[in-house]
Amino acid sequence: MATGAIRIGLNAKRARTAWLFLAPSLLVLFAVALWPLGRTFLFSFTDAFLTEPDIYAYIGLENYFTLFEDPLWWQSVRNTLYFTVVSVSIETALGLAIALLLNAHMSGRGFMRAVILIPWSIPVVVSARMWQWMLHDQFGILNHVLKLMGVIDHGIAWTANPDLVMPVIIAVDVWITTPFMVLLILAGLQMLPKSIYEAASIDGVSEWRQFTALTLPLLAPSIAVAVLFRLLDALRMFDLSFVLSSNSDDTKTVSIYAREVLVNFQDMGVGSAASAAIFLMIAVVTAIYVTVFRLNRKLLGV
Amino acid sequence: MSGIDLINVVKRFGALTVIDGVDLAIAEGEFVVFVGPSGCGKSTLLRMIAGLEEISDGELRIAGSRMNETPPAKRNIAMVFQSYALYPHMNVERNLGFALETARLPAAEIRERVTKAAKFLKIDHLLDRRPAQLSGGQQQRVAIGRALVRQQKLFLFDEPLSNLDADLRMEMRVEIARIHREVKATTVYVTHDQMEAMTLADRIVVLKDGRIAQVGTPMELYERPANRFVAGFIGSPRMNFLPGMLVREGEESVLSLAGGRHRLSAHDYAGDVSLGIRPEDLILGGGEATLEAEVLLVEPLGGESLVHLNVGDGRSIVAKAQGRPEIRPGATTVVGWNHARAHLFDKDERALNPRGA
Repeated sequence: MATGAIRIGLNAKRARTAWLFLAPSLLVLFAVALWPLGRTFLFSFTDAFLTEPDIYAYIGLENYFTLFEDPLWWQSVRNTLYFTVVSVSIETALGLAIALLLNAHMSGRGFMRAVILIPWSIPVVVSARMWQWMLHDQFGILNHVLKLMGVIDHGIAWTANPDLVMPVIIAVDVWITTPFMVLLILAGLQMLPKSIYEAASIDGVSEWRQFTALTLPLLAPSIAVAVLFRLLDALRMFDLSFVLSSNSDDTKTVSIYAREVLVNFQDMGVGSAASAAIFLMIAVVTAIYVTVFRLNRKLLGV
Repeated sequence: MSGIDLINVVKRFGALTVIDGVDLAIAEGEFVVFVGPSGCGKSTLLRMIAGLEEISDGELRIAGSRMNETPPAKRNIAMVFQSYALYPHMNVERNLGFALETARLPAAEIRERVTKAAKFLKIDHLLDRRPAQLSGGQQQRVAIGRALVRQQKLFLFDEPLSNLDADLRMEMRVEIARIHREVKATTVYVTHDQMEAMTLADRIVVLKDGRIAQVGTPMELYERPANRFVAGFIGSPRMNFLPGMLVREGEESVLSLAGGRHRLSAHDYAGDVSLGIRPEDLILGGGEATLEAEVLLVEPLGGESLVHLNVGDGRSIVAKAQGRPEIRPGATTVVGWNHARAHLFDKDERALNPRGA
C-alpha cells in the first residue's frame, strides 16, 4: 500500500516535470500556429478586408460559397493535386533507385552521399531562380545546349508555354527534393539486417525476388514516412510555381490562389476561407494516408 | 557424395591474410566443428564454403567438383546463422517455406515439408507467429527448420548457439546432435565454445591465426594435443603450464622444474620446455612426481572442487579434486601427477614425445 502511494506520488511528480519542460514549446506552438489558424477560421466567416481588418461582420458560409463557385479555385486544386501526385511519385521511384545504388558497396559512396544532398540544401527560391535562368528562352544554357546538339533550331520558352510549364515545375521539384527521399530511404535501407540477404542468397532466392519479397516490404515503413513528408510539402507548394510562372493559371496552386485573393484582392474573408480549405484538404489527405498505411501495416504485420 | 575438400585455401582482405593455406578433407555425413578464439578465421572459412566470401587462392570442392566460382545458391547447402537471419515480416510458416516457394515447388509439397520440419523441431504450434514474437530458442529452431526443409546434403552452422543462455544452449546442442543423427547430412559447425566442439563433433578443427592448429577427434585432441595452443584451448578449466628445462642424462631425460627434478624416459629434445598438466590429472597429496604447493583458494562446485595452488616461484595452478577436500587456504600441501598424464612442449610450443613413442 505504502509503495503504491509513493509510486503515484512519483508519477504525478514526473508528469508535472514533463509539463514544465513542454510548456515553452507549447506556448510557442500556440502563438505561431494555433492562434493564427484560429484567426484564419474566424476571418473565413467574415467580410473583412485587408485594408481595415478590424471592421468586419459575420456573414456565415458565404465566403465558402464564393470560393467553391470560383472555377479558378478548382483549377488550383486540380493543379495542386496533379503536381503532388506526379512529383511525389517520380521522387519516390527515383529516390528508391538512387538509395539502392548508394546502399551497394562501391567506392566513393560517402562522397556521393554528401554530393547528392546539395540540391536539397539550396533554398527553393534560389533553386527556382537558378533554373529560371537556365531555362531562359534566349540566354538559358538548356536551349543553348539543345541548339548545339541540333535538337532544336530556336529557343523554347519553357516557362511561358502552357503545355510545358507544369512539367518544368515538376522536373525542378524532382531535382530539388529527390535527395530528401534518397536520404530517408537510405536510412531505412541501412537498418535492414544484412544476414537475411545472405540467408536468401544461399536459399537460392534471386536478387529481384530478394528486392520484392524482402527489401520492399521491410522498407515500406521508411518509404511511407518519406512519402508522407513529401505529400504535405507538395500540397502546400508555393515558391517554385510563384517564381517560375507567377501568374499562369496552368500552374496556380491552392497556396498561390489563397495569397492572391488575400494580398492582391485584399479579400481577407475569401482568402481565409481558401486557407482554411487548404488546411482541411491537407488534414483529410494525411488522415486517409495514415489510416490506410496503418491498416496495411496490420495486414502485412510489419 | 557430399564431402568437402579444402585445398590450400587462402583468404586475403587487402594486405591482411585471414586464412593462410588450409587443407582439409571432410567426409560425407561427417560432423566437423571449427573451433578457435575470435579472429582465428573460423567463420570466414565457413563463409568461404558457403560462397558468402570469395576464395582468394586454393580450391574448394564439394562432392568432388570445384566450387570457387559457384554462387551460394548452386552449392546445394543450407546454412544457419548466428543472428538466425529470419525474415522479420513473415510468419514462421512462410519463413520455413520461402525458399521452397521461390523454387516453385507445388504448394502441397511445401506444406508437407514445412509441417514435417515444424513437428520435428517442436515448433508446429508457432507457425502463425512472427519472429519478433518468439523466444531466442524458438527463433533458433525456426532457423534450423528453414535449413532442414530444403533437404540439402550439406549443413553449415555459424555459431548458432552463442546468442542463447546456458540452459537453452545445452538443450539446442542436444537437439542439433539429434538432427545430425537422423538427417545424416555433412555438417560444418563453427563455435568458439570448446564444450560444444567436444560434445558435437566427429572431428574438431582447431584454428589459430588462419591456420589449422590440429585436426582430430575430440578425444585425440584432449589426450594428445599437437601443440601448446590446442592443449590450452581444449579442456576446461584449461591446462596448467609450468616452465622447465629438459636435459639428457644417459638413457634418460631429466626435467627440472622450479620445485624439483624428475626423471623421464629418453627424449630426443633437450632445452627449455613447458610442462602441461590438466587440472583433472593433478593429484592432491600424491603422484609419481610431486611439488610443494600453498593452497590459495578452494572453489567447491558441488560434486568436485577447484583448488587453486601456488607452486614454486609464485606460479598458480588449478587442480580438480573430487568432493570437497579438507584443506584450507594458506595451508601447505603436496600436489603430484603421473608422467603418463603429463604433456611436454618444446620452445616452439610443439608437443614432445619420448623416443620411440
